[in-house]
This record gives sequence, C-alpha cells and structure tokens, in this order.
Amino acid sequence: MTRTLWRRLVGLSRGRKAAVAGAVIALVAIGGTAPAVAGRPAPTRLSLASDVSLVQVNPIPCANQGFQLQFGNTGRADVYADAFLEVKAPLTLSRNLVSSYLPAGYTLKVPITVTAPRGTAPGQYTITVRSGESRLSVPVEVAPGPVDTTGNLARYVPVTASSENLPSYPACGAVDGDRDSNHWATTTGWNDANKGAFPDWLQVTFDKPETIGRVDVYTLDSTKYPAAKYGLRDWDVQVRVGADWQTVAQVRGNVAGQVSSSFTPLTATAFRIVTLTSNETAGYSRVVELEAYAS
Amino acid sequence: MIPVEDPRPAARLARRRFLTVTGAATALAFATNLPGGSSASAATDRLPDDPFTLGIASGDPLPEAVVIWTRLAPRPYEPLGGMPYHAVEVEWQVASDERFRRIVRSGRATARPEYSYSVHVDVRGLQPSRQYWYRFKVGTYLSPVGRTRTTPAPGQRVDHLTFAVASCQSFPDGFYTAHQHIAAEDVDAVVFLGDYIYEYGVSASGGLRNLTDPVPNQFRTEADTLDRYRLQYALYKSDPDLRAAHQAAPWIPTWDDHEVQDNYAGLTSKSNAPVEDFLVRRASAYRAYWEHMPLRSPAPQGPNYMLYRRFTFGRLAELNVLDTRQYRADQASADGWKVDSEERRDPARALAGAQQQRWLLDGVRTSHATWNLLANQVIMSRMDQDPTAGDLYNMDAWDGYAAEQKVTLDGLAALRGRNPVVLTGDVHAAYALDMKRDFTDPASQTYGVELVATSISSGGNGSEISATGQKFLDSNPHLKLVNERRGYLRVRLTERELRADYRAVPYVDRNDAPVQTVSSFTVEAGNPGLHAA
Repeated sequence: MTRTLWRRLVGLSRGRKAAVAGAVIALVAIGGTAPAVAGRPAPTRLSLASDVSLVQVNPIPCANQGFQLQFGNTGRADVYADAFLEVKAPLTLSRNLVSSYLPAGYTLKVPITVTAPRGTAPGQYTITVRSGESRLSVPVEVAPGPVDTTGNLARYVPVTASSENLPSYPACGAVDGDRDSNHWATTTGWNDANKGAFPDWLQVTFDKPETIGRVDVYTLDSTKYPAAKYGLRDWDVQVRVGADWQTVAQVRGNVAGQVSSSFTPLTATAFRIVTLTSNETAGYSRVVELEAYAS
Repeated sequence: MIPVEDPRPAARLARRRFLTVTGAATALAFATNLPGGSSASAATDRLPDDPFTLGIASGDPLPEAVVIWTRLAPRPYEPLGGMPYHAVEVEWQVASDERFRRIVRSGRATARPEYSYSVHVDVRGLQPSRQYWYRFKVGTYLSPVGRTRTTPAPGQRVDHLTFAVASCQSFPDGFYTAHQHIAAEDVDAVVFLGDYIYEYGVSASGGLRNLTDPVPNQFRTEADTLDRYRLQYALYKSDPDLRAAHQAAPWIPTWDDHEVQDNYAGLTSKSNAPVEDFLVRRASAYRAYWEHMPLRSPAPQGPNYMLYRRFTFGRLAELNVLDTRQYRADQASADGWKVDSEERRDPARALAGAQQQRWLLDGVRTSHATWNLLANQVIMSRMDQDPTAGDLYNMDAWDGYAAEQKVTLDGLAALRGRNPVVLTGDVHAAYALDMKRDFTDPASQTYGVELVATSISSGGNGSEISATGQKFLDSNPHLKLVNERRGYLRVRLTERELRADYRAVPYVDRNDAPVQTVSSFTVEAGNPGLHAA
C-alpha cells in the first residue's frame, strides 16, 4: 500500500504539490502510533545552577555580560542531556539550548551572554532554565542605559564587520572605548578573519540619523606591533546617507597609529571604513578603536 | 519485505507508562547504556515547515548494503532544528530506478531528539555494483531523491572505479563550488578526509561569502557543546553544493581535527584543558559528527568512537579508512614546524596507535585487491620545509611521529605488489609524492604514491603556488606537484593503471566557478611511482 501511494504522490506532485500532499495524508496513516524503544530508564538527576545570584545587564550592544550555567549530572549513569533557556523579550540570550554529553558526576560550565537593546526599560527580569524535572530561575537587573559624554558617535550602537577573527578579535572591541594597543588580542580590538584578503569593512550603525564630520581610526600600534609593520595602510571612510554609501575621505600610505579624517559634516545613518591594504605583506585589517564625531 | 526499525510494542507500552509517571518530555537524552528514546509520534505529526533542509546522504557502501541518511530540521538554526521535543517517524524507500517504479526496499525509521532527529538506515539486501535511488518522507513532506551505489561483490572483477577525494571545507573561507563539480562527476564514492566543519565562531557576514542573510548570533562563539556542534553542521549543510555532492554519490568519510578542535591530539586539547573537560567536549563533537554523516549505528556513546574501517571493491581496490586523531599522543616540541628532536622520534608516541597500525598492515598484506588505498588525514611521507641542509617538519603530520611513521612506511614498503596509494587532506594544497625507501636519496626504491587533495574552500581563493609551496618543492625531490587552488582530486582505477586528476576552481569567494584539471599523473599497477600525464 505504501508503495503505491508514494508513487502516486510523486507522479502527481509534479503538478500541484501542496494540494495533492494534503489529500494523501489520510491514506498514509497506516503506521498508527509509531514504534518506540524503551529500556528501563535509570534514575537520572540533572542539576542546574548559576555562578551569580543576579545578572546585571547594561542595555547596549556589545556588552559582555551574563552568567555561567552549571549543568550537572548527579545521577549514576552517563547521559546526553538538554537544558532549555528562556527570557522575555526584548532581552536575548546567546543560546536557548545547551546539549551535552554529561558523564555521571560531571558538571558542564557554559557561559551565557545576556543582551538587552538600547531603550530596554530598567528593572527586574528573569531567565528560566529547565532540564527534565530540574528548574532554575536566574534574576536579571537591567540598568539604565549609559550616556556617552565624549561626543563619540560610535559608542553604544551596533557594530558589524566583513569578518571577525573570533573569539579574540571581535568587531565590538573596536568600539569599546579602549584605544590601547597594548591590550591587543584580549578582545579590545578588531582583526578580520581572512589573511591577505582585501577589502574588509568595519561598520557602525546609528540608532537615529546623526551629524558626522570626523572619523578617527586607531590601528594596531604598539612597541611589539608597530603600525608601520602591522597597521592599516590604505582605507576609505564612507558614510551612509539615505540608502547610499558616500566616500568622504581616503587614507593612503599610512604608517601612524592614529589617523583623523575630517570632512564636510553630513547627516548619516551609518559609517564605515573600507580597508584596502595593511603594512604587513598578506596581512589583516587591525583596528584597536574606531570613533566618529560631529566635527 | 519491509524491514521496520524497532517494532517492539511491549517496550513501547513500558515506555509510555514511564512517561506518564514522570511527567514526560524529560529533557534527558537518555543514558548511554540504554537503547531507549522518546516515543515516536504518528507520521502525520505537523511540522512547522519542510524538514529536509539539510538534505540527504548515503555512505559506507558494502556489496549488499548502504547507509541512507537525513536529519529533520524544519528551522535548522532554532533550538532542536525547529522540531517538536519528541521522536518522529520517517518513511524511506530505495528503488532501482530514479522514478521509484521498482522499489526494492522500504521501511520506517524513528528520528529521535537524542540524535538531533537524524536517521541512519542501514539498507540491507541490495545487489552488488548497482546504482540505487532513495528518498524519505515525513507526513506530507518528501525529501529530495539521492543516488547511491553498492560496492562490487567480493572477488568480482571490476573494469574501473572512480573516486572523488576531498577535505577541508571552512564555511567562511568560501563557497563549495568544488562540490558542485564533484556532484557532476558520476563517481563510485566520495572519500572525505576530514575537516568537514571547523569549530570556530562565524561572523554575521559569513566571511568571504559576504552573505546578505546574516549568519545568526548563536554562531559567534566556538562550537564546544553538542547543540553548538549541531548548529555548525546545519550551517555547513546550508550550502546547496555540499548537499548536491551528498545527493549524487555515497560518501566514505573520516574526520581530522576540526570536527572537534584545531590540532587536538587524543586526550589533549589545544588549550590543554583538563582531560575530564576535553573528553566531554570530544564526546559531544563525536556524537554530532555521527549524527550528520551517513555512518552505521550505533552512535558514539561517550568520548570514544571506532571510525577506522575498510571497504573492498571486488578485486580492483581496497580502501583503508584511518583515524589519526583519536589515539595520538600530543604533538612534539609544542607543535608547529620544528627541527628533529628526540621527542619526535620517541617510539612511545602513538599516531594511529599500535592496534590500528597492525590492523592496517595486516589488511594490506592479506588484501587481494590490485590497489590498496589509505584514506589518511595528515601527510604520511616525509615533508621537509627547509631547502638548506637542515630539516623542518610539521609536528602535526606523520613526520611529527617519526617512530610510527617509520614502522608504517617500512611495513608498506615491504609488501610486494600491493600498490599502496595514500590519499591525504589537511594542508589545503594539491601535492603528488613518490614514496621512497629513503626520502633523502632520489635513486632509492619507490614503493607507493601519496596523493594529497587540496581543500574544498579552506584558505580562500588560493594561488597557484605560494613561497612556502616553492620551499617544499625545493626541499623534497620526491614531491612532484604543488598547487594551492581549491578543488578536489579525482582518482580513476583500472587493473592496469591509476589516473589522478587534480581538479581546481579559480576562486571560491563567488559562486559557480568553472573547474579544470590543473595536473594529472598516472601510476602503472605493479610499477610504483608517478608519471606526469
């Protein structure tokens, strides 16, 4: 019976797939309840815990905040287990499911990042975690959003890149307020992921249109990694006006650690640098900090 | 005859009762010592969308059997792939014609959450040396149709065989155009030599792919838990060319390091994490690998999995699939390219390990096949990177485990008329090497060849030859080819001759690159050594 049906289904589905499929459902219900296998389940005990009693959350992109989920197997049998995590919008978690092999007596420790967008109402929230019969509630406190007082338009807004060399060189590191090249390779600067391949780009997107007239680039420049050897050499500065990207400045032959590009101020929704080459042969794009100002 | 998986009503009832008592839908993926799982729903269970987003596959062909595979994932980047948290029944069919007029086998299997809703059906009772077509069905959803092929019968004379040999497909490094060309080759099998996934986090733009649909946030962190490894496979299988290569031919896969972690060695992680922690990660990675490959059951239970195995293609060829990751000692001299050392030559340091090595050499010795192929990960022949009098070796390759390398190579060299052919991946470059009794003496006996397939995408667009590639040519007289474009290797075998065609694409940062043969070699059966063709 199954055989005939399948053939018919395929034959017909060349014409009107969806309609036919609906009609076939009833005929295919031969299996009834599907087979399942069961052993005698051993008592399984899973434990859930957090390393902190309260998660403090700053409502900005790039905030590195959250908690460590401690997912344990307190039973006597080795298991594969799932833990489901939830939080109410607009908060988000870096993962909503943790699955792992858990040998008896083992506790897995998984970092969970908690993010709240700008404008999230300050107050109390709760993350719930469940695994089998186990439950965990982790309280969250969302703080009022920070206010930038330096005029740097790149602070506390979303940043993206053509690629990121993760985990040590995220795009977020280029807008974290840390210009110090001695902190290189500790997530405080951006390095793309494709050696020798250009162009790359690093982009900041504003929450609302902003007046922008200057972009400062701090490329990698330390005693160990001088800009003349490892820093960016050539790049374009572009701003987005409406849907169009406009090139407002070009930097060529740079060997310095900091370059300020000033231009006639514009109202823009985003800006980016498009990197063209590095001082290193077959190198990377490396930006310790990217800043923008009205003038 | 319709073989049905696990039709055991008594057990089902017992399970039901258990579910009622405990409140059910427990998150537990069940103990490794239990065969159980959650109960399967009826075939008409509503799924939110087409569950066959990750495609289908077949693999590990035998004369009378082949494994067919799929994984249900209507929303592949959501938790559980968008599936309900219970088992779902899947129907399957195998036919001897593309239109399924002659169905030779069919049945039902259960896709369980414990195995990320993957289905591995070991279809038995097939005819040797035959093409078959297969497909799956869940509710009203029908999968694409895959083509597969059984191996020749034992002792059978075989006119010719064709294999595609591939490795290393970093998703953010480029498109899988090479797989599109593999799919068009009509090969007997695809031999995949590892680095099917890379564990690294993936940026929103997907690296060189520069995607308009951003790669979701949960991909930013490195894969280290089971859910995260599963996501990585889902992302990799989002490339339609990879799915096409699976759909076109059976695969015979093995892993290298990146299925778990860059350059891990047995129990030792790259970061020297506590062994207890690393083994948990390895167990999750191994399980995810099995879930996404057309491998036979049972699935890995815990941190060990026996992956090395052998396939016989009548009297023409035998393929020995190696695992040089799971059993190896830590790399000597802190890894990297290093000069010779006592540690490098320490006979206590395993690569394949004594048991696997014995299995390999015994197998090749007792083989009745004309060609004896090794599906190997890292370069087995000596490969010096220093063009001067000094030597510089890759501590992660067989060179880094000189004692076991010597025993293995001496063992292969001592066997007469076995025509050993080592197929290797790992290095993102096409190489062709004569295997010499004494690699420092070009006049010494050649007893086999090593054919290194370049990467599918890893390394980006690549070039004809880099400065390092030139160093290899200058330092190793037994090395006859270096090409650093992306692509794969096509190996054609007859009783008289092996022909190796190195296939390459000019770029991978855009789709649809054409393919060309950049170099070809032949090897005459019974007369080891490469001849430019």
